[in-house]
Amino acid sequence: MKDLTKESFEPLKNKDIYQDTNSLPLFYRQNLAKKFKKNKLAILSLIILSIIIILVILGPFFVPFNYYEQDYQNTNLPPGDKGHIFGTDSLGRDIFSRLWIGGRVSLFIAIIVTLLSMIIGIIYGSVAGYYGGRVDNIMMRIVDILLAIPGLLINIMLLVVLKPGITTIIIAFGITGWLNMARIVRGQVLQVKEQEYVLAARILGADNKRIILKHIIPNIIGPIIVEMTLIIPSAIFGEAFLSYIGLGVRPPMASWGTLASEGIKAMRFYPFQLIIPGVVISLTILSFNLLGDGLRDILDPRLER
Amino acid sequence: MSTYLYLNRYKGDLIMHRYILKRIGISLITIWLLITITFFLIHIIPGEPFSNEKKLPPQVLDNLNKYYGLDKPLTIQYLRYLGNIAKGDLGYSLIYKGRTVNDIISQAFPYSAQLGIQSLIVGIALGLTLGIMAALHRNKILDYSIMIIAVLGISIPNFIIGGLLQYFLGVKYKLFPVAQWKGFIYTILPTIALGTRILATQVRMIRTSTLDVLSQDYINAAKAKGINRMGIIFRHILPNSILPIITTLGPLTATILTGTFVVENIFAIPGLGRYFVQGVQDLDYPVVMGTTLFYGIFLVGLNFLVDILYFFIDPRINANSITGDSL
Amino acid sequence: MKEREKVLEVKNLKVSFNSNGHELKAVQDISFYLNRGEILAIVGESGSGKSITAQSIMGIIQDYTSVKREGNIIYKDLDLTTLSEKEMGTIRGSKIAMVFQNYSSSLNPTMKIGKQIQESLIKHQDLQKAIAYKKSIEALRRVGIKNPEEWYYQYPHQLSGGMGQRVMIAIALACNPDILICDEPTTALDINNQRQIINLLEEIQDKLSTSIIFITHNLKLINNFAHRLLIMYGGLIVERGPVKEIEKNPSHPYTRGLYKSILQRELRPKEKLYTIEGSPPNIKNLPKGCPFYPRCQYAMKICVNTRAEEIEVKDGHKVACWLYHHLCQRTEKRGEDFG
Repeated sequence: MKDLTKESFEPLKNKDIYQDTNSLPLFYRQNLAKKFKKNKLAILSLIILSIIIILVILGPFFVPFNYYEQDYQNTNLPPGDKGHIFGTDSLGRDIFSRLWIGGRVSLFIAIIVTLLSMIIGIIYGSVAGYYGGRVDNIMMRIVDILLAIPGLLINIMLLVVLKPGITTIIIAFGITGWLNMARIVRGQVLQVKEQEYVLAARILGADNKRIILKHIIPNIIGPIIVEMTLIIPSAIFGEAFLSYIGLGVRPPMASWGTLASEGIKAMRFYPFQLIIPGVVISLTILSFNLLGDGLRDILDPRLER
Repeated sequence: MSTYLYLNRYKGDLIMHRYILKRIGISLITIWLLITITFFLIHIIPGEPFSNEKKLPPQVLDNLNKYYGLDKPLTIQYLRYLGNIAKGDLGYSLIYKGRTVNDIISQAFPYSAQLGIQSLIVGIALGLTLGIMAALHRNKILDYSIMIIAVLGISIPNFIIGGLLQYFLGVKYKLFPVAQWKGFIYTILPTIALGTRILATQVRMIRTSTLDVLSQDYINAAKAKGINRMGIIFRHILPNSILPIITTLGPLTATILTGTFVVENIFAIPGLGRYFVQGVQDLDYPVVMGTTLFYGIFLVGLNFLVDILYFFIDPRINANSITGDSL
Repeated sequence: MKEREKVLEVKNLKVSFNSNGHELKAVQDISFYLNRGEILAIVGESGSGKSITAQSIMGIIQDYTSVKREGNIIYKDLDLTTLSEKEMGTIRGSKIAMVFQNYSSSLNPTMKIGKQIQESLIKHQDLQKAIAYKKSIEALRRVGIKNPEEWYYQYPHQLSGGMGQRVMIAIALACNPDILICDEPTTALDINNQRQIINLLEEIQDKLSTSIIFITHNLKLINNFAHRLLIMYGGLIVERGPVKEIEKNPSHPYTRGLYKSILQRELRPKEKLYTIEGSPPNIKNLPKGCPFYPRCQYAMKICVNTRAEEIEVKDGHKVACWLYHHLCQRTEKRGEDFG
């Protein structure tokens, strides 16, 4: 208050001295990447998943054994013995190569099931949501009824009747896997289609197919990705479960589920045969779950505080 | 009674009746669909499903013929099947001579039910406590530790948890019996194996719903009334964060059922899950289909009850929230 | 007013939040008092800090990441800022109560209306259930709800707007508090209900001689109702004084803008509705000087970096604006261009 002069009271000509720096928004995508990098758990799970995927692809080439050859001289070897990194099983097969071959089967099933569910779910859900009214009503009632029957029971019935194998497992999961996706997509489409930019596109003469593909789907991709990261672990889980109750792939083929179920049989005397596949399966599902949680935090603006 | 309230209540009654009728209709359609699917699945099995591989004793074949009417045309067979199920008759086992599927279910299901209910209680009680604790200590160490347990719980398949529990606590340290079902102590490990997943899913759900409740104005308003922490937790947070759980009871029970298939096998428990898996491996079609139907109807019925229950418990449910739903 | 007894005095209150390393100054430095039986209105736009002021008196500021509260809040002879959470719990609801903005989100949806009234009675007065029941019925009747015995057993979603806000007031008044803080109690209501709520509050103040802090953004509501008025902007009090006095002679350019936009005579055809240009202050980045200068048509060099002291224009009517400094030679301060 010391040096007040007459000049201090002169009118201010240029008010731009004041700048609202904090209100400049980051670009949406830049923002997402930045947030994702902050989520250490999600980054860690991405790294773990990459390592597992690399091992699944290349692992079997590192060792001089294959997954099916039986060696009755060397059954139930402990890990590290005679060059078997993870030991051998009750038939003398190398667990290390079986683990990664089994991973190929499990991950392959999971990925195909996820893609199938995604494609069917998106088409079904967006048609129901976009057309609305009676079409929507009938389509969603069908989904509700199918959802009321536990999916795993249907899967089991199908597999009992059809011949167990990779294709049948994929078909069985594919039949039930898309239902939730369809519901989510439909809900999102219902919201998005009311937005002005969709209306604008329609006024400009875009047809329904173009509006769905170019204007609606890109705006609901977030929830779809989150749901995808949930389908993958549940497919791995489901495959392991089916293999455990004897409806998985047939020997000598292996999957993570069959390895774990063989491991449980041998557990009493050779616990490593359960622990090794158990850890790998759990780590994979865990990483997908953490990745999904991370993505949900980033993509779901409602969770932002 | 004031007219306003009376009209409101009358409207509520109408909505409720319509809602219940609709729910009954959907449940019946679902059950019919399930029955039809099982019937036609049996008939697409290549070859003769009931003489496949194993030679069946004449007595068993006789029973089968009586039950399915295999010599009659397909439509007659189908109607007969529907009639049998309406009577509650699920047919004969192919493997266990002379035993009906009903027999097997009534003998084995109580074990599964006990195991299921035990793990449900443990899972929900612990899940609720931990979930609310996590939310109240949001982004603190306690929250992180609880959430790590929860994400591990949903990530480790129950046959691995069961196997590891059995090996470490049963075989290696001999703290619990390794297997079988001869008293309470035998039920502990299977209950943990089955309950972990329930606990984990509940923790995650409760935490989310509690965080949502915590951000509501009425929590602040309760604080402004001078209500203490415990009062706020028990009277204002808990009732509101519990509500969403009720709707998950259906899917939760489905998770438990499939869980019993695995856990009963690992721990050699003579429950229905074990018979079911045995039936799958022996291709004992009547047992598999019968059990599936039994579980299916059980779950559909449960879902129906849960929906009705929710209607009565949540005071907020009104005309808007129900008609806006895709029923 | 017979005697001027202060029931509440707020001294140099500062409230800031820490959000991702940014310090958000919601309340910058404010002091005011409340007399017994007085209705004090606090008026400001959203973001002016008026609600945060109310919440910090109650000690219930929702914690975002971290809240810093400085200054003193003196109730009678008690400094509320020194109380523990438990001690504060005996003040809240019984001595100082609050009515929230939106009844539909501020009432617990799963608790019966009666129970929500009873709750604070049981907590503060240690009443038996039967007596608490009677008192809550009475509280409902007092706010003008007919058939209180029936409404006691209803859930909040069954209430209509006006009734919901009445229930909120009944809850706040249950223990006969000395001070009632109303945080925008009428914003969610239509004009008819707004009037009724105002009348109800007047009646209560008259009967129970409760002191009321009435927070609003609507100047229209408070004439003939409030005794004194605080105008807040950007976490500061820019003008204060008796309502009549400020209405007659609004001095701060912001207050003038408010009156001009609200108390305007009917518009002639094609005449534009008056609005204050610019947008409300962003508390992430407040100017060093007067928070209003970026929108002020009289802004001077000094306003940018120096904050004005309060200057008394008339008895009890003070304004924080450089236009009223004795060195300032400008004529605008006399409000000659104010229509």
